[in-house]
Amino acid sequence: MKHTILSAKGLCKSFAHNGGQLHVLSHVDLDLYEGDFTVIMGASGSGKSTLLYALSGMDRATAGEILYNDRDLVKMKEKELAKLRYTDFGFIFQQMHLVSNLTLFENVAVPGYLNKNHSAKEVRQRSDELLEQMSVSHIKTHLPAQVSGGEQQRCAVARAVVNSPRLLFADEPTGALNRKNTTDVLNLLTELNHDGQSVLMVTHDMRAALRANRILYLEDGKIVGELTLPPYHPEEEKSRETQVNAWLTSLEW
Amino acid sequence: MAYLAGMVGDDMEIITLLKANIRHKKGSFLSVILLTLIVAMSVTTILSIKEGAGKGILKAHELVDTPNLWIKYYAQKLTNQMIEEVKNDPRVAKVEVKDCLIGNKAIINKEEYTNSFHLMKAPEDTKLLKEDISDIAEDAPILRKGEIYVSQGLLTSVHGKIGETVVIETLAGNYTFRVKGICLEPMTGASVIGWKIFYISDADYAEMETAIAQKETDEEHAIGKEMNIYKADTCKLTDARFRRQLNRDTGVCNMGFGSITKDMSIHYTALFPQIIASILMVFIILLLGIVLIVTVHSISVEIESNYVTFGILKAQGFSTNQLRALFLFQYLIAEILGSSFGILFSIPVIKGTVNIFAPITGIPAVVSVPVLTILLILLALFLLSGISILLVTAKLSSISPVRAISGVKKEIYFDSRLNAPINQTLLSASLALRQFTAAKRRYISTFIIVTILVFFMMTISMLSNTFTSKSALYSMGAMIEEVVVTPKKQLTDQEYASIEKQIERFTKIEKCYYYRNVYFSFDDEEIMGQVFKNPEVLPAIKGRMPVYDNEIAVAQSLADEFNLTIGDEVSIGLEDKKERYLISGTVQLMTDTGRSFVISYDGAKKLGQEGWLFSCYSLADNKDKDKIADALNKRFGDIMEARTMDGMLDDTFEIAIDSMRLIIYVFSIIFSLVVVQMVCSKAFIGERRDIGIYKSLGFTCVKLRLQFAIRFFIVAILGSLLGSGLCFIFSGKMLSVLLYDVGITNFVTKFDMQTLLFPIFIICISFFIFSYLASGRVKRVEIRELVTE
Repeated sequence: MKHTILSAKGLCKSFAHNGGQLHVLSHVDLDLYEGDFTVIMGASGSGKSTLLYALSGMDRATAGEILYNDRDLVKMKEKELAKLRYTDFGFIFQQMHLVSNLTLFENVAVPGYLNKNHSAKEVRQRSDELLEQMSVSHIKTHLPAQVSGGEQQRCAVARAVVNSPRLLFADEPTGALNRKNTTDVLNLLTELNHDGQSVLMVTHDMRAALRANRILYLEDGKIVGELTLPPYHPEEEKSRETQVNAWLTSLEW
Repeated sequence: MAYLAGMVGDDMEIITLLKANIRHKKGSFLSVILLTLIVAMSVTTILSIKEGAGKGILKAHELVDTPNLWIKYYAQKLTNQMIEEVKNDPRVAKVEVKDCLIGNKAIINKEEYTNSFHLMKAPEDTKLLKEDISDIAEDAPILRKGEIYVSQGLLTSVHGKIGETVVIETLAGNYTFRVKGICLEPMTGASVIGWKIFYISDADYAEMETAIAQKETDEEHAIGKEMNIYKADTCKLTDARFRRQLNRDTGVCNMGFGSITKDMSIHYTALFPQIIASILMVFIILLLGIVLIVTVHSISVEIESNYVTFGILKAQGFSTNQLRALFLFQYLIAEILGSSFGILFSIPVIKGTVNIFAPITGIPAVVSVPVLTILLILLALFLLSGISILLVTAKLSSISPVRAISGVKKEIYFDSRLNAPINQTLLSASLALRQFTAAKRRYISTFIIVTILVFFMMTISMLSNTFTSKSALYSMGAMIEEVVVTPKKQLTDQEYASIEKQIERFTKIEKCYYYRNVYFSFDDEEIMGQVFKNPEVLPAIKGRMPVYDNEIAVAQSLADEFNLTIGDEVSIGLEDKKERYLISGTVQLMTDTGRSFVISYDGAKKLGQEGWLFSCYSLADNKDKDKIADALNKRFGDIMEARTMDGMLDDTFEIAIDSMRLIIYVFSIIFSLVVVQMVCSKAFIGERRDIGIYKSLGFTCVKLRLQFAIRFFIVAILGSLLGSGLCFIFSGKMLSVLLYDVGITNFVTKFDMQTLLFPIFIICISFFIFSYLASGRVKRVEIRELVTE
């Protein structure tokens, strides 16, 4: 029996549009489980990123509830949500979004410093370890503008996990990367997941989706399909790809 | 204009872009309008008040038909022969001789007035002022017995008003009057001029004259005459030269005990408005500089943040010159609108403040706007602004469409040697410092603006401090008189010693001055001489104070006026005696606004001046000065009279400096607000993405706003440090130039913790609070904007 880490019920999100309301998410019900690598797929404009941002508390839902540790994220105050971001959640953006005037090391360490559970020394040690793990420790004193996109994204992954979050959100983390860097970043995420990290990733990249053990398909703001897979192993990638492809085809992707 | 027309072309594209730009960037546009509005309003108001005061003074002189030369005499000194001699002089058009009674002590509103004054019969055409001194009253009722007209300058000096009692001390006893009205007395009516004229009824005059005449002795006189001399139309001499030449040829001033020319009177009366206007104008010019800095900064950031947009516009066929014209018109329109509103808004301000100096000048001001001067100043602003815009927009030529559109622009952030490590304990502060050091260029304009504001705020605080600090006033040669002893006879050294011993039972005497002011003929010009028994009590600026009886020390401004230096000889005369004296040094004197000199008692004796001297004391602790005066009067009342004085700054000076301080502080805070608002907006646009990232990492809005505010606080501190440094170096020199006309040629700067810290505190806190408020829009940045970027 898997333990539910985050649960959404009747989640809606609308935006004001041309004097009316554009309903992007429509009564989404969803449970995320501890240790899962969940992927949300869907066509452009289906509401994938909106769902991810709402679930992570980065954006407020219009209606519904998102329960985390028996508390509703929708009703949380800004300060409580902020705390959640540096204690329990990690986030990886498609465009890396590193702070341009901080070095790679500092970009990783700052959220660690923000979380007062660890001493500065411990944060520095953990940041160093993560940068080493992400293979960017040799350029840790560089500014983001001085390194490649892949290196930036690896640093962004290190930043997202520096506080050992219970749930890691990733919004198309490979969307801006070339093939090699994409593989590197996906390997990192898989490795983290194998170490017990819960991951929720939005992607429309088949190769990225293969890393998940659970794929949700979103269409017009609703979850219309779900595929459960065994944990990822590189040697099974071909058969996995065939299975996912067939499933997506059945959903007219 | 042809160049501008060439830049714009004939099409509507620039106008369309201009309209869109103004609509889209309302904040910058409104900020420039607001800054220019403040500057234009201040320039218009200050220049109008200055001109209004000046024109009011000239109008008053015309209305009262004041003479070119006014001389006062003890009656027995003015002979008919001299009057005839003056009347017959070809340079003289008309001479009037009037009777007067001379007084030296009046008590009004319980305050003593101890300068020389005249009591005269009120002329039939006496001009009275309305009670609020806003204008000339329609009529002047004939005075009845016990009523008196006084000038506004006198009332200001003693904080008096209509209806109060005036007690005049005379040889024949005290006479009491009630102030019936305020008379227009342009020649000596200003509070900065020591002499005054009181008008009383014919009946009172006759009664007092008879009584005083009976009490006059060979030593003590109180019946006088005044002679009004009008220059002939054919005489083209200045009033000063006219007095000098007439005195040289007839000795008409030498026989009197004081004289003043119309030009001098106008100069002294208008002195205060002019000095205050000059100081404020320097400040306003610096504010003009700030407007230029803000404009340049705003454009520079706009070009940086809209690099791609300009690339796209270029790709569509816009030339660099057209884009430059876009900025030029956008900012010039804002400045012209701001100036127009400023001039418009200044009209009610001028109406409400034009008479602000009337209590000092004693003359109602005329509402007058020096349109041409104001327009020239504003044109200079537009011109400088235009040049600055053209210079700063030159970088538009380096934007190539392909580079801009492909996003190949210079990185804003560079590695900096100043980068301090990010610290967990002071996380917000260290991040704020990093944001500052990584984009220093962005804050240069703020830094310069803070420097200017702090420099001026500190200078004005220091001005106030210097005038309230004994040590600074001592070094500037000012005499601080807290207890003044007026002898009733020539006192012996032993008697002076006893008086001082009595004072020192209460407190230590810091300085004591034995002196008397006497008007001498100084190279045939009537100049105030301060006869000192102990001239060494005053510090010499150059050379030394007079030691021998053939030496004098002259005020620097007098030395400049007569082109004299140490070692030169001058001829000094009193009545019919004349001697030559050597200038041993220069000294700073504020008496008669610096048109004065110091002569030793022995030196004055050679000219027959050997009367008694005041002895004035500056006390280590003045809290018991009233008790000291009472004790002295009780014990030595038969040989002297002791009274107390404020000792420090004249009230008028204090009010003026405090008003200037208030104006400068208020303007500085308003400018801080607008500048912070503008710079914050620009910084915010540039850092919107980083703010989103920080939010996604778990930073709260309060933390991010604090980071923003801390950055501006750091800039404010750095700017304040430079402003303080500049103040240390330049403010003394600047104030010496601005205050030269009041005789201050060597301003001694007096810094204390308050002078330093208060302006820094005000500016830094203003920047911190305003930037915190301006960063309120951090709340509006949603993290999801990072996705849609």
